[in-house]
Amino acid sequence: MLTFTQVWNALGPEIVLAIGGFVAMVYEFMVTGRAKQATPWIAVLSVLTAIPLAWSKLHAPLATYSIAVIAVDDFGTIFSLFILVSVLLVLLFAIASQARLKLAFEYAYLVLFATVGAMVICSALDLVTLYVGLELLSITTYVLVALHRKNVKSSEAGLKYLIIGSIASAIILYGLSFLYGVAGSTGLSRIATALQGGYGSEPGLVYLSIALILVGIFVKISAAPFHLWTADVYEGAPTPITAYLAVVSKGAVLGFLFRVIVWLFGAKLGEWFGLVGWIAIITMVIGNLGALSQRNIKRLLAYSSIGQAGYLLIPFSSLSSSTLASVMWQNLSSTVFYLFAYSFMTIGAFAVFSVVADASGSEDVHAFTGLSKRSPWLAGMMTLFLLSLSGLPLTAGFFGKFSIFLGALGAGQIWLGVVLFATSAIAFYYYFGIIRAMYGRTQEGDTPPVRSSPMQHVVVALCAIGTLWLGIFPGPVTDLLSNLHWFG
Amino acid sequence: MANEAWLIPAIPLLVYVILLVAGRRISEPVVAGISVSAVLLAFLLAIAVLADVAVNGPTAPTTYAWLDFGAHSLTVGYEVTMLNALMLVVVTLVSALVLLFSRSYMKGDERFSRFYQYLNLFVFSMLGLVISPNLLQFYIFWELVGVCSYLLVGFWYYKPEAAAAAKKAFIVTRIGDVGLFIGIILLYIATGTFDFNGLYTAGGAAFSQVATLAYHGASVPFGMSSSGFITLTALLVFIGAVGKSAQFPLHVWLPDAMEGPTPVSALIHAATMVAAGVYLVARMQPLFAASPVASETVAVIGGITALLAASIGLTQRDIKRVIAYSTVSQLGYMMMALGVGAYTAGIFHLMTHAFFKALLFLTAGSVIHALDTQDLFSMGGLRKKMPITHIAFLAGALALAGVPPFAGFWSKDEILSAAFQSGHYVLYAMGLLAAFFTAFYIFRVYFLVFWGEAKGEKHAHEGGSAMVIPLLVLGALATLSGFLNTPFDPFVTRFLTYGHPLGIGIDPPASLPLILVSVIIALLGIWLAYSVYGRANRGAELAKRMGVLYTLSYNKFYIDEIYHYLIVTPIFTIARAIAFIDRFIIDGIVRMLGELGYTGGVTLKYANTGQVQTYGVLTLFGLVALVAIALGIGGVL
Repeated sequence: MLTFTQVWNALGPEIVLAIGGFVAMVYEFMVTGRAKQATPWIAVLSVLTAIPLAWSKLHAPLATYSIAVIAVDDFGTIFSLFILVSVLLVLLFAIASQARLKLAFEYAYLVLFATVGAMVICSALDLVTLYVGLELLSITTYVLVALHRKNVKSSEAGLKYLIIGSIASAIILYGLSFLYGVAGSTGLSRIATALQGGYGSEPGLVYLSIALILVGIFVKISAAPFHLWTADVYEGAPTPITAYLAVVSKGAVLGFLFRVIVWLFGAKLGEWFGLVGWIAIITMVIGNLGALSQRNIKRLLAYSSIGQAGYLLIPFSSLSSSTLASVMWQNLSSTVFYLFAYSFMTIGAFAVFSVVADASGSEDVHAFTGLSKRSPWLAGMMTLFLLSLSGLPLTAGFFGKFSIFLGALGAGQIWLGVVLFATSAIAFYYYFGIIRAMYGRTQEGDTPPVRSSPMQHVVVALCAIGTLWLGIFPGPVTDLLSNLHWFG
Repeated sequence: MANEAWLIPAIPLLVYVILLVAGRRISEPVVAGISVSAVLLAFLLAIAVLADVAVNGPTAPTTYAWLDFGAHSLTVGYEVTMLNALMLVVVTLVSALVLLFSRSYMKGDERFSRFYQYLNLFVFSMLGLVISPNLLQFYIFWELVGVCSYLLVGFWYYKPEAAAAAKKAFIVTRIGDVGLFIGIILLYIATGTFDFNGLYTAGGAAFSQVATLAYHGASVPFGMSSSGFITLTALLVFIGAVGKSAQFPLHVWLPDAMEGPTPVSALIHAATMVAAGVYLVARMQPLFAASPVASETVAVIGGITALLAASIGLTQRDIKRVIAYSTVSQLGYMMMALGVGAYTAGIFHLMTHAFFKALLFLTAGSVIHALDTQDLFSMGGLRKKMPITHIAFLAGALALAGVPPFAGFWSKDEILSAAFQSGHYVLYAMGLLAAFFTAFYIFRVYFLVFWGEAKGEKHAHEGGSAMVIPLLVLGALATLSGFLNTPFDPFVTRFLTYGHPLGIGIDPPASLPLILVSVIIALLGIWLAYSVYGRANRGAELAKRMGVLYTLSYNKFYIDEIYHYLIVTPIFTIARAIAFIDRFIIDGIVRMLGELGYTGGVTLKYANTGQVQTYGVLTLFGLVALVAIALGIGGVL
């Protein structure tokens, strides 16, 4: 029997979030009127409590806190930290947009529950735990997407996400079931033993299982050609939830990918990198070309986030080029660094977008026309986020791409690097469309004044600080990452 | 003094910050006063640094650790070499004069202080680029000058042409930047360092040793041969220079960039930023020297650019565009010089060109300021009304045409004779033809603008002293700076090759017949311009006689159009195809289902389930394909 202390040691931050979620739920149910506005702050408080808890576990050896189904290693902890920081930003963003978006306060605890799922899939060591975490994340986000019950687009997006997400979950589950069938166990370590560092006695079934798991994951992180749902769902979801999907969901599922595939098939990855590399290339190309012709900024950012998924797959593909541990750590560092950078710049861009779209009632690029006159601060910040997304030096995006690029070249995958840069050059084109609109000529009558709350400025400023900090002084973060003992 | 070289870029940065914070509250004269005096101070420091290295030789780089990436560590810092000491002086001098000129030119613009703010940021970035001790820092400043150029070309953003030109400039140069960046990374992988010095040490004697190129005990990456690898990286670096220095085939952005204010054209698009590509190739000289293929490519691209741009310049009607094509052409000469191994000739031409081309742009600015038009055929007879501008332009034109003893004569002649004496006869001939065109087109401008009858109602007159002083200083430099490096006393060559272990860049001695040929060619061009445009404008007659050649030149050989059809259109077609799938096929199915829904009652209330089905089906197709591939990998299928 596990003692509570053991469970607490392994799952402390998750437990804090879950308790916070229940408290928020009950509170929201009990009070009426203005008092409801405190609900999201309960969520913020529990995230703020969870962050130091997770932080305290960094550098702990695997055996210290782990239990049979949950590993407490630096890989899981750093992903948890990424998730927590991003969720904090998303929550603040949601609080800031609350007044205009009229979000139901349920989002506060739903986000917390989804986050528990997200953190679990990055540290689970058992197929069942993994799947439960994945479903907790997925089902909660289906609801979150459809949070605007009376808005047709939001409900439609929720339904679409539910259907496509369920297909993906089913595919993943099918893949996991083969693993169980071959190994006779759901524990990742047992399965790895049964596969004897290879594919075990039933290679055909194992191949099938890897393929199924990969497809399910590709759907969830919106890699091409499984990306079709992305633009519709991102467009329909309330903007803070879109940011959550783009950052937290995507990052956590990527963690899942690393956890399962590296843990089980680490030695055999070499056979798969070509496939993942091609998916990365297709994703980068389709995401960035698709964004070119979008007029709706939310759809544009959705396609851009497809492209970003392609960038994030590069380190995974590079992983497999070598069995050297240092190569693996380097690529993991790149992934996590880019995830942090991606979190700041994406949430920041969505936050500015949300203010601007509210002001003009339009999600079109025209909504940004003359923003530099109406709000030089927001225009400047948006420019920063867009430049970072396109990877200009002195921004977080540059260093993120730079280290991914180094990793790809180090793995001898020069073409991945070339496509990374070529598609970034394309990305400049559409990001510049927005920048030009902001600084370009204004037409009469289509420039409603921007009204923004102090809270919105706080979110934007936090994201900007993160973007610049990672761009100019990435040292502390890269130092931290290079000193991690990833899987033990 | 060279150890305090960091002060030189720090000064304009400080002014930038001051203007950023307080710019709106300071009056125009103060903004301009602070900027000009600050950059003048930087210029004096640069002179002191130059004097220091002239006596004591180059300094070792001063570096600070920036960050560590696992095994990789990056540094920032500064370094003064002979080459960049000279660049510091040129950049600060031209910048100070252009900042002064802008005082009058931009007077009354509502964003006056913003303009100075951007210019100071640019000067900082350019100086930072010049003193970077490593390629990564160099690349960051390289991007920064690109951003400043974008901001300044699009300064009058309410003009749609200006906004489009700014974007075009940025994107076209980005194409080159991608090449440069890949080159930098490849070099890093092979040598384990970004430092210019380290590269050459790791590369051994001119990068010739396979063993020393290798890093961490591994051999050259990607299993390439050592020489192939050096050629590849040199060419990638050169692609970056092609973009920045507007070489064929990426030259198309520079003429469009003339939509920016004229002082910007003079500073960024003539004297400094566009020369950064030439500076880069010069800085990486050992790498290029190790690869004959790359050097030949540099020379040939330079030669083609010189001739092509000069021949386009013959027919343009916009005064700034003529000078812009002339800039492209002159940059081509510099590349050609570097390519044929005449390193000091290329740098010397960079320097003289910075002076006389900034002069030509500023005089053009003075003319545009007076007449409010850029159309050559609406100008005329300014010789009397603007005597100082006239004399200054004439000095610049003579320098550009290569008439002795003006500056351009010495430097261009050095390049041509180096091309000839290194056995590049075809390049020499191209350079000579381009020189003929050059003399013709610049004197075509001269005669059209300053001779003939005055046109238009407007009363033209000289600008204020802020506009005249820079013209006088640059006029003097355009006339005299050639004497810094004559065959009789090659001061610049001696300076640049101070203590150079490899003995690179010693140019062949001048030969009198070659000099005579150059002079005759230049005079012929001027004479032709005079006979066509000197007394009456007989340009139309000439155009008719040239027929299709005239049309080709006037339309810039249709290169923009070719790019549009070969590159822009296909990309947008693909993008539209993706949008088509997104919007049309999928939405089409939805709409069809929607139509059915209307007729069939509420059965298809959730019309979009059709859409999701499509997504689902496509997902399953993907699944089947991936499973097939997976089983293929496993050898089961």
